[in-house]
Amino acid sequence: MRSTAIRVEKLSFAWPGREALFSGFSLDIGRGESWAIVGASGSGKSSLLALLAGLERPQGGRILIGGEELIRPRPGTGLVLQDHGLLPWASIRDNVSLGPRLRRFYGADGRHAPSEAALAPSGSAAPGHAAAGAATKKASAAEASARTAASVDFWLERLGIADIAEAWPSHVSGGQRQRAAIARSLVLDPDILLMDEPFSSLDEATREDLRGLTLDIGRERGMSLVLVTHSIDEALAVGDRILLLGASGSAPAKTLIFDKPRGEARAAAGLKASLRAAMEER
Amino acid sequence: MKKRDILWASLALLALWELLALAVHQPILPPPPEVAAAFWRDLGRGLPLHFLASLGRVTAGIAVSVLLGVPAGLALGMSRRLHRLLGPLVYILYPIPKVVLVPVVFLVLGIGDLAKVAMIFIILFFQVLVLVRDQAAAIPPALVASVRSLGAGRRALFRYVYFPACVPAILTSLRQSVGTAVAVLYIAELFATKWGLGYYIYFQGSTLMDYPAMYAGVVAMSLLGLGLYFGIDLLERRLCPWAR
Repeated sequence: MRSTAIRVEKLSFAWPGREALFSGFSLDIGRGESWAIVGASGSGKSSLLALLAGLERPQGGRILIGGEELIRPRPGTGLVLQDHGLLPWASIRDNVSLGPRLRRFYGADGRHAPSEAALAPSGSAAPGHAAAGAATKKASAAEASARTAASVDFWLERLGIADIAEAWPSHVSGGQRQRAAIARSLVLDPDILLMDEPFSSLDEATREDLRGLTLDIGRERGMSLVLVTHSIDEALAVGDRILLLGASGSAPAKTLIFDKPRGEARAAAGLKASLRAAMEER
Repeated sequence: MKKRDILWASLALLALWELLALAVHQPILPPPPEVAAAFWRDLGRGLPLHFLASLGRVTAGIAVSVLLGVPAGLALGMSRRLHRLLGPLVYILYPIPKVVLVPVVFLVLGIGDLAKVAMIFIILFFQVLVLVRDQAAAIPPALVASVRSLGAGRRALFRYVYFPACVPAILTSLRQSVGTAVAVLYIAELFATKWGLGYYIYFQGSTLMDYPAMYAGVVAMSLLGLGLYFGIDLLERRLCPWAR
């Protein structure tokens, strides 16, 4: 049975002084599903992602994640942006370990970090590193720190950036920066990964490679993926389901959801044509 | 800047001074060897103490301006509301040449060390505040959003994003204004003190008419300014290697 990871209920949202982007908008994203959000510029793709990330608050309606109303960024939701958002003054390794450091900064307060003190991040959940939650609580600061370091190493290795771990972000390629941004999110073992055009500034080969890797990791770990993109091809490559948002100010009734057919090239081509036609209509 | 280039520039400057001294041929412009001898002699006659007095005042001024200017600049850069409220005040006060406030500061704070440090503080504070504010306001929203998504609240954003982002701006503002600060220190030390390079230069030149000693004071004051400049440069290289 399909269980819900993200539920958007009658969402209303407008940027100050602008027309409403969403009005009574509802959406259900299942656990472990991959969604792509497409639409013209100004249709609210990135705004929806910011709302799902808890970075913006809706003016009406609500967003529920795991049954809980979202009122601030949630520790279990990862966010990867087109502009990678790495700290220029920190090495790639320090950037990737920023999440655990922030959790230690606040402690397990249930607000900025999970209340169950999951300070040992996802490297511990990596194959061969299954950690016991209870033991983690008792672990000394040194052990927690070692676990974080192991997790960071794991994701640096997995994303193929271990060899540039000590480099500054400005000294590595765009693809490597984006890998670091993804690794930074994954270190916190998210159950939801939100991505806003993360591959759009990369060259074709890097884009496909990184997209494939992200999808593989998402499937392995049972994450729900939501990808904002302006490319129909990318939406088809990533999304099990594709949400097409209407142009700015358009009624939410114009929002369409497409299910990607599995395995049939002709059906996929048909969906691509329908998507293109629907986008042009807007 | 390479050390070798600095050495060459110093030698060129000394050669130019020597040539000028030869051309002028008056006691008012002694040649470098004469000044070097006076400098060496006065090292045993209290010049180091005058140097330390000036260094203490300028360091105190720098410390207070950083301690107050950085949080104020960060607050204005981080909060649009606060910037709307106080921005116009900064806009009006920033371009005022602070040197003209010397008499006012002496009238209000007296003629002691407090007034001298306050004067340096006033010059540096606005420079630090404005550069830090602009740097904080220019941090890309995507950077802030991505760190917020990792769980950072206001405190962590300050610690991990805004403050480190502003370190280069702090050092740039200090480097830009340290020359002016030392110049104002000279003026401030002309009044009501018997310690400080400003007093030393004035006393040697105007009272004792010992021009080589006066130039020894000028050299010491230049070394003070240069030392601070190089110190800030070194700090920048240590603290901001990523910016290179």
